[in-house]
Amino acid sequence: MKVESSSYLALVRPLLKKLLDGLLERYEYASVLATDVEMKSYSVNRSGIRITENNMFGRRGFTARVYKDGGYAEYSANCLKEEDIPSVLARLNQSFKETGNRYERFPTPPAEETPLSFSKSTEFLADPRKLGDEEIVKKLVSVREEGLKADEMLVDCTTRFNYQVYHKLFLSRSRDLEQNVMFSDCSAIFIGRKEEALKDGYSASSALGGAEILERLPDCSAQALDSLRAALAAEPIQPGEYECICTPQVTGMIVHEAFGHGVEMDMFVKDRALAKNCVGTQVASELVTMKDGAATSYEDVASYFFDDEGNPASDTVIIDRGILVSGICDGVSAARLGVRPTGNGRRESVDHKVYTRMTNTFFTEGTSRPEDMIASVKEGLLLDCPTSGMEDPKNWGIQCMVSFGREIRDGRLTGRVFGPIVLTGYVPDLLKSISMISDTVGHCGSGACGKGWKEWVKVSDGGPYIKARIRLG
Amino acid sequence: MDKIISLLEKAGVSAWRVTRKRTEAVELYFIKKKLDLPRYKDLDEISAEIFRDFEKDGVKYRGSTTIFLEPSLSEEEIGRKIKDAWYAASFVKNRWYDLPKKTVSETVPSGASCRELPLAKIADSLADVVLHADSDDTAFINSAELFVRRAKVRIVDSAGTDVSCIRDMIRGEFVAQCTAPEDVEQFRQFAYDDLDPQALKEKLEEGIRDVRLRARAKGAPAAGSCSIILTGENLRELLNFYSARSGSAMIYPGYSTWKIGENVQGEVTTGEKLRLSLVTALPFSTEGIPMKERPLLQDGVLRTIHGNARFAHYLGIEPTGGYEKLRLDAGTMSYEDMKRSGALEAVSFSDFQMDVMDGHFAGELRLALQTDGSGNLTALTGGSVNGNLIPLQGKLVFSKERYKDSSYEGPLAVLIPDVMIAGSD
Repeated sequence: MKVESSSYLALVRPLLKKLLDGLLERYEYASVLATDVEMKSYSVNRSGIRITENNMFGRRGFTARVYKDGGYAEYSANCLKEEDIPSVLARLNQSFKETGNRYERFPTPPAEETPLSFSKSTEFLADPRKLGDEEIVKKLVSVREEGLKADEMLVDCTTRFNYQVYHKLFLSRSRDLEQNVMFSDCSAIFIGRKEEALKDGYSASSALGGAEILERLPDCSAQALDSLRAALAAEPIQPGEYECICTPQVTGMIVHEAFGHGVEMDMFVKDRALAKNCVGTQVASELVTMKDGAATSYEDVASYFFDDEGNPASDTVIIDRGILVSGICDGVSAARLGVRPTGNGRRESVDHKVYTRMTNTFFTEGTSRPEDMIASVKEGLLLDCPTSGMEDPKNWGIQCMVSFGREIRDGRLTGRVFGPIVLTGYVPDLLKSISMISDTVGHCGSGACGKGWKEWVKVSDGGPYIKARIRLG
Repeated sequence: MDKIISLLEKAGVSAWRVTRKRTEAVELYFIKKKLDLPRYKDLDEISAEIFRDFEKDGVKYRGSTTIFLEPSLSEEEIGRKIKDAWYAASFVKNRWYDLPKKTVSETVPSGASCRELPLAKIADSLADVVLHADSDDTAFINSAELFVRRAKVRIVDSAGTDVSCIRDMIRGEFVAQCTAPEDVEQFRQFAYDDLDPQALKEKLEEGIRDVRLRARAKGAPAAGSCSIILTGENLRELLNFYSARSGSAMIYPGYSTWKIGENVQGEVTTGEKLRLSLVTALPFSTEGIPMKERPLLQDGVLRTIHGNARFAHYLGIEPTGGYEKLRLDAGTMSYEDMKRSGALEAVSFSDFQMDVMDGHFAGELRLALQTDGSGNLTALTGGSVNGNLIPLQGKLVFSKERYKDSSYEGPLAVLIPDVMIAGSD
């Protein structure tokens, strides 16, 4: 089934068009982006049951963007009535007057748009709105109760389900685009106690789709429980450099945090990314190919048809067999850099600024079997359960954290576990040390990605198992 | 709001809370000295929490759901959303609890001295400070984002509560860059409840000073165990361990076993006893509960369990509302003495994190400073710290010098012994 169009956006379209016409009379370039977002979150744990609408990624609203005298200005609101149009026009006019005399503008060519018009929708199997609150809560309760039977040491288990249906309408002089998208995710978190410390085990699944994702919740629960048991058994690690096998989840964190943020080309504009000077050079082992895009073959929570500047989604090869070939780019940065936008201009919600953002980001698969990769390690760790990561585009320093690593000796898992573990080092050193890549891949988009400490957007990341040398602490 | 309340009553919803937040904002984005983008926004956000009481097998329950009611919704759409929320609440099988007592108050004005200024003027004042913070081509402000917001919040509920307040919020971030001898950067955030150009100026100067140090930093600190110094925001992050574990949201489900009167800091050996307070940033909580300053820890002993009405009812304690700000009254050692002790000063991390569940704190070092016995300063970068607060909390020593931002008032620095460093061999 396809996600249906928004009746609200259909209703306000004439008003948005009227606003756009008013802006186009005054400005060299103008566009209007309007959204209608429905997001609902469900969770069950020892604290109780929770059903709530969620406004993390916005609700209804619009942003008007205009270009004049070498720069852009934007105005956002969450409601547009006919009588508001003069005040929106006046506010933007006032902006250019106030800032024009006071500040020099960062040079920016106007957007160049080829004509484009479409209305597209993603598909889903089960509509969570039709499945209903009662059935969703029943499923979360039953998986939780089943999970808690597994072990008496458990303090709690949380089961969660979220879905979002969003509709976006982009209007400019040459573009009229509409998209209707639904994605969902589910997760299980087990909590156990080890003396005064609480440890947790987490597993999640996500998809471009609807409530069908709930079928994966029992598997998430089993994996989360397994992770908790490992975390509870973990011993402190001796800092040093180790031969590591990374699970697809850890690979995803390295792809996203260690390298992905560094090829967001709005950072090139600010001279904040080392990658700017490395295009065409080897940055990784020749086994590595990395991609990002809302139109990649890996459909997940960050798949869409056009970005928040009205540029079509794409499938960008970032690293081709070890060589950095391209960054990803929003429209304004692309104009400044003289390159083509890649459809990566995204806003946290309609009232936030556009930045270059990742979408679905991953290493492509290799040829090795995961079991052969483990068998090839004389002394090392199988790193699992990523917990957090932070980017460093300027200096390519790594900060990634995982809950634990399972010890490998003479090609076998010994049963010993170490954790929590911080991965550090220099990104190209890690990527160039990759010596094996598995033929199986995994990806997930259960969380959100920030730019620095804010501007959260849904992303997915992943890839194959990789073998690399990594400094751990 | 009146229309929504009348529709709630018409739908037979007997217990509800409606919150309206009207926000006006000006945002300025700069790349070096040039304006990248000015943004303006006006948001009118209304949410309603709908409570439904029901009984099953002789047990009373109170379910609730929250819905967002945009100003563009028609009366028919609002009615439908209320009906759906009422239905959903019947599956939220949470034990019955009392809602907060009725509170009525005139609108509490913003306490900021800039409350009468137009937001664009406040943003311009911040921009003046940022654009004049650097004076040479080697170390400078690479980019900055300035956010000025004024929000009026009104909370009305079915028990008769009707409170409102206005808050000014000044937030932002900047990146300081130094191009020689190494091309490096330092990221900094700031958050104030008032226009404070001097505080921002000092933050910018500190950012530029630190990025100069990072530009000449050589290598990671030596691997092994050593004493570290944490400052400012990282010290505040460490204290999250205490604010989170004393929250009813962690105590009710049994994640935290802390009890009032318990010495949660444990035996204090070489360190200082903790005296922490919960400080108000707003006059009312999100449930309309009047907020006041409360002692959290007195000499390491837990004095307050804080949180919302539901968990407070379950635990049989007074609901306090949620707190964003902490004050720590401690400090016996000068910051200079800490540095002279040979401890590694962790100036900045890529992302310093305190795991309140297991007590671990960790982060990758972007800049660390170490002073040797002769007073020579070495700047270091790379490697990571990885420690656990639980066995170390009796050994914390705080600086006499103070630090203040929108979420913390207290010692500028803390000295923590026996922290594991992953660094050079």
